[in-house]
Amino acid sequence: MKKTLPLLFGMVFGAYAVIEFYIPHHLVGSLSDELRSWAAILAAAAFIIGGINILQVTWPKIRRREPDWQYKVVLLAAAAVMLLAGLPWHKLGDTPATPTVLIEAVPGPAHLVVNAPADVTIQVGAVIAPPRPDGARYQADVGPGTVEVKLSRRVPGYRTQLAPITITDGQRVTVTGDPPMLWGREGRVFVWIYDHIFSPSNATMFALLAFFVASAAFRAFRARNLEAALLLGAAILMMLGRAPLGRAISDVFPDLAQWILDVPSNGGRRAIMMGAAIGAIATALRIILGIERSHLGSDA
Amino acid sequence: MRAAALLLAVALAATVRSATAAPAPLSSLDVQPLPNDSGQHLHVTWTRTAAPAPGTATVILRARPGAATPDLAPGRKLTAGDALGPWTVVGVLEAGELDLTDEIEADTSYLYAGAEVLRAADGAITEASPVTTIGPRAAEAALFHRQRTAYLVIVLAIGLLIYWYVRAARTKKDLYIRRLPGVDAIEDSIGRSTEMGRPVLYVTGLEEIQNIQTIASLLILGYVAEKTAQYDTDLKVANYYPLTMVVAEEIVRQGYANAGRIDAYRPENVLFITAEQFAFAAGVNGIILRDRPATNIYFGTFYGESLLLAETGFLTGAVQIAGTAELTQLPFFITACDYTLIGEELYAASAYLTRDPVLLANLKAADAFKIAAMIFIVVGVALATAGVFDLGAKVFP
Repeated sequence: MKKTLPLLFGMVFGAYAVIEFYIPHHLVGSLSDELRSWAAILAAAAFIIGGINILQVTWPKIRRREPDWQYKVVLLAAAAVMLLAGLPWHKLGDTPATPTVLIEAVPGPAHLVVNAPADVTIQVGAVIAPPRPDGARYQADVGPGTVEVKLSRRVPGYRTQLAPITITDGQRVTVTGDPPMLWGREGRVFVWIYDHIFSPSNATMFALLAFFVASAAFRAFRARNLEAALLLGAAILMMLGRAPLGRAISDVFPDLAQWILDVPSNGGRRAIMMGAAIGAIATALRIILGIERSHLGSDA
Repeated sequence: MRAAALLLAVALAATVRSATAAPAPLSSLDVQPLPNDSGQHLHVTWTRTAAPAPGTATVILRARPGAATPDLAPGRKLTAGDALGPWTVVGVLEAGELDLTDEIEADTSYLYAGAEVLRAADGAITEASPVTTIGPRAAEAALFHRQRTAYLVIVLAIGLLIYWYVRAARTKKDLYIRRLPGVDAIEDSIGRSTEMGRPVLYVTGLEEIQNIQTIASLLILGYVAEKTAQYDTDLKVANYYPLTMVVAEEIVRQGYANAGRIDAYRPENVLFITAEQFAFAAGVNGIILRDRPATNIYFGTFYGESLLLAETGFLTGAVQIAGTAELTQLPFFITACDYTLIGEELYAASAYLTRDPVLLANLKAADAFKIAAMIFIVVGVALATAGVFDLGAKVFP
């Protein structure tokens, strides 16, 4: 039973996934959407298990003070900080989505006053107010009618406040607001950590690739046998074809480099792709038909 | 003087108005179901009785049967999705289009209406042609996608070949499969790890569990786990997705059980690193540099991090075996690893390792189909080159 049931599920859902490709009927499509939703829920739930796994793996190493245990502390602390920063704490409190609006009767044309901190961008209708010193208010005479006042911060992670106001001559409308900071994935702390710590670290790892490519190329281009010599020759031609130096020597090099890419390289790529595609179909059929059972283990 | 100017302005306005002729109605408005459709689309086509004046837009509307003809009175502003009584605006087309595909509810009939309109700068209708209506029409849900017949034939052909070879394998046990040095090296490298007292690192790639390369990788993982259990060597499995980790955990546990060493199984050695590409690379590189595995196995889907992993492994002197069907990463693995399984070899590895005749028959079936594909390509190229027949375009429309 332990082996039969997973096998049966694999066969049924695997066969369904194949059949679905050939039946465009909407009923089939809606069932597929439902199954995809299940898969998404399952994958999301697995992230909780992933978090538990990280805790299970790292905590004992910290407790036993194993070598490099300090890194594990950094890992857990960073995970905890991101978890806390990623929760939408602002939903617990009352963060104003709209600024306060005060309407006063003042003789003269319709007049708008906006009170907001200096780092807040004020937009009245389609007009963006010029930067102003700290503590200064934005003031302008506006035409009678309805106008939308939008308060936002230049940096991400803050809620944008909107106030549609109707104003007539003889009125002064004072809009006072301060876009509140958000938490969660769109929140200030999360975005700041992502932009200022994660992204540079990510870019650093990616940049290392340049040095690894150089060292790998150095090894690969040593002509130890016929294949390596062919590789070296092709690489030299490609470099000459792509670098300005090659064109300066002869116009043949760019054309030759393009020919290598278009004909022998492309032919080889297509052969590998077709072989892999047929292999993938065969593997999928092997699992769907229940021929491949090694991943299921014994029926004990 | 002022009265004269006013009269002139009124006269000019009247002249301009009469010069701007009312748009002509649409002709041949037609609504047809799409072929190979899910039953949720209708294709609306029309022609024009006269060339449209500049600024003319075509308005197409849809309603349930029984709705009265829509009123496109001047002053209305219409955009796609707007409701106009029982009618819904399907599209307001300004680029001279002569067709559109409308997404509708399945199993429901609809009336369609179309007209040409002239609009002011603010989008309000100034003049509209008489409305042409058609319907009711309903979409047709197809039960088979005819354009995919060739793909179905391929799958069925491979299925039939598998059936034929499996039958043959039951009677004839010695099926020849060419050597895969990369797969043969797995057991040797595990033995080397055992001698050196260092772990084996297995990376399942950077795709989710439903990716066929990840599945192929997990099938091989079972064998690797069994061998490491037999050799009493630590196996560390680095996973990019938690769901892959859960499945890998079960597969490794089963591998240890198959070897009769379930007591040696350590679940904490099956790791979820992270689902961020370069953070994953940093994590795995950390394992490689700290634990110094004597064998690194990279099977699955890899992207830009492939060389980061393989070069770091090379620097530690580990035996490295990689396998992927990602074309762009193959050169990196070939350069930095001792053995590389290219494309289809990754899918063949699990069958090759088990030496089960039924699984080997599957490989033979795939090989036989490859020969058929090659013949098809050669014949197709010859026919196309000779200008006789474009076989590829006919079979794969």
